[in-house]
Amino acid sequence: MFYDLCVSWPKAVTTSSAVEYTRSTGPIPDLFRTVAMLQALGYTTIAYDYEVSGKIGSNITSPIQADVFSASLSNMTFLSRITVILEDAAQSQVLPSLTSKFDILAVRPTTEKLLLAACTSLDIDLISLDLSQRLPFYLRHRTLGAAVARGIKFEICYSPSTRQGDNNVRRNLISNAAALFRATRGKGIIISSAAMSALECRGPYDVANLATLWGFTQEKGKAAVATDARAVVVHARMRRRSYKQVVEIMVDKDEVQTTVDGKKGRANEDHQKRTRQEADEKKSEKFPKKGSKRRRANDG
Amino acid sequence: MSTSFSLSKREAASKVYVTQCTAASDVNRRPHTTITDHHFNQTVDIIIPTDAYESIAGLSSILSGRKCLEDWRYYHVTAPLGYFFKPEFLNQYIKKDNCLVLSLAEIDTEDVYCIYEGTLRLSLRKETYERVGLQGKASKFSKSRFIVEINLRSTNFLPGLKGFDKLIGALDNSPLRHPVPFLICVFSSGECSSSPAILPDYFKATAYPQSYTRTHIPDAVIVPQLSPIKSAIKLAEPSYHSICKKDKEGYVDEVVKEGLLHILEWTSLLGLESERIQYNKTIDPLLSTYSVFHDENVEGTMPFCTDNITKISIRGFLTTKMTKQIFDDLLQYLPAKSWATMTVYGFQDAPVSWASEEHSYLMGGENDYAIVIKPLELGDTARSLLAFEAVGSNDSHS
Repeated sequence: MFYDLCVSWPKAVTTSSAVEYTRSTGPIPDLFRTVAMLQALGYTTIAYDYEVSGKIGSNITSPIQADVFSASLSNMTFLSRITVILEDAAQSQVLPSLTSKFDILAVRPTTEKLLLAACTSLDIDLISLDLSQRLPFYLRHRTLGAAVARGIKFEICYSPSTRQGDNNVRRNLISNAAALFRATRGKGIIISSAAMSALECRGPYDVANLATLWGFTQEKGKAAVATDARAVVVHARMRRRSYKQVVEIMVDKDEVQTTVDGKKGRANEDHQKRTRQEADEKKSEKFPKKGSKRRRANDG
Repeated sequence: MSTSFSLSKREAASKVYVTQCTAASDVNRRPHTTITDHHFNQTVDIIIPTDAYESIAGLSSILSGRKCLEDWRYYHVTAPLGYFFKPEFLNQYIKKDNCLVLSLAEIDTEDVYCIYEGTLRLSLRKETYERVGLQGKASKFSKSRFIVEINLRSTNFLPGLKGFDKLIGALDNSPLRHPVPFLICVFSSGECSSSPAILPDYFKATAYPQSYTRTHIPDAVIVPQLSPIKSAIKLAEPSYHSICKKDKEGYVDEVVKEGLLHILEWTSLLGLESERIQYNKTIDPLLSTYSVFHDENVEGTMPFCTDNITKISIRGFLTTKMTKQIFDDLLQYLPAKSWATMTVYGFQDAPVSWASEEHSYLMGGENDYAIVIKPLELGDTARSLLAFEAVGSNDSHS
């Protein structure tokens, strides 16, 4: 099971565009080719990434239609993700409202202060730094370690090095990724493509081998595309759906089970909270609601 | 005399274990344990000179392919694990140690079940292990994987007793109840104990014959000398090289190791039907500088000889009894002056490699072995053999 948690959702596609990928050119067919390539390379779960910056309205809707290729690419799971480019502290107040609209919430801090805030206080899943440019701040173990201890992982995107173009970008990526690995002591890093075309994708074992250039061992490299990435997805799910990450209602056909702290009263409260949330979502979203069955891990 | 050593670069690398011995060695040691302990076999490649094959074909029903056609088969079925514990299968096959079962799933990301030599072995992810509720121990290669091992032939494993009931309860109620694809090989008891038996009907399994293919390579192939140890000693003689006495041991070791690895490389190229070992093929040195290893310095021996070869490939789901029979037939019927190689490939997703050594998949999950049978020298009573065992990085076999 390999995960690629960053496949750029094309900006040209908005909620009102027709979803047609039979035409040979255009952002959606290109995306289809990228995703089909990832499936052929062996990835089983993909997250579409929507990048926002600047002022974010609190009633933002998700332009990502995660199910768009589900019919033709079965056996794959599709998730939606938002990457907020943090430029000032006011943006962090919008983050809670984004949780319900996207599966995974990632931030890209641009200053050291915001990086510290992201690592220590923000309620997010992933910190994705733009490693293809020279970073405006140093990566220190003190700040990054706080994030790793909270369960927030860092992301390295490898497609700047496989994209046609700048050698500077490749150089920056290698040195920044190595610095990130050193600063986090090798824990809490995932690797994803930020693929914009099918040519930039690489197979999971190739990515693990590429990671050895950045200081990873083979085991850590493989974990970065497999088990740690899975941990991000589970962390995001628990953040959305469980009460204080302790109790989650899992409706397994006829049974209702509770995990860990199985107090009935709290369980009911969570259930009510979720149904209320879902009712709100139903009003705001226009396209088919993502079923909870798909995103649940295979349980007994 | 049997020597064995391992060659590996660092901890996490793949390893090769080499044994030089004769066919008359003890059955509890290599190379016999190499064959009999390697439970899950996918392909057996046998390569022998064509004239040797012609003399064997009439004598051995296995090596000529008749056995595969008539008898040897395996089953593929999608069923829950509980099907193997119904009384018909349990008493007929498991209790009498007449079956080999492997579920088809990836060993590093999914749950894998297998039954070998009357032992049930479950390699479970953490979440499955917590739901199954059976006693197990942590895996050596992953913190979130657990191994449950149950001896199904022990006297404690009977209906009504605690161990049995607990397992049946788990099979019916936990994630083990979901159907998964299995490969099954069953055989009936008795002397010809690798002859097949029929699965009970409720399995609704599809039977496949173990496939047999035979190719004759038209071009002659270079066969190197297969006795590096003699040449190494000769090379280390003071008259050939001026090496001081105390370095002689280390030097001999290095030369021997290099020679053995060359033989392994040559064996693999044979299996690939490569042109690089064919007699009359040349290639631009820019593309390949490989040449078959031979010692120019040793007097009195031909540097190499050439042979036309036949490659026999038996593929499917083979048990140790089958591979042992193949090897025994080969040893018995091979003409004295001929050499032969037998390469056996294991399943990359098997939970065990040899005996009950844990096996997993990191970047590769190889657990294969190759046995090279040398020509019978004058004055030898038993044939000398070279056994190479290749294990991937995540494998506890040694």
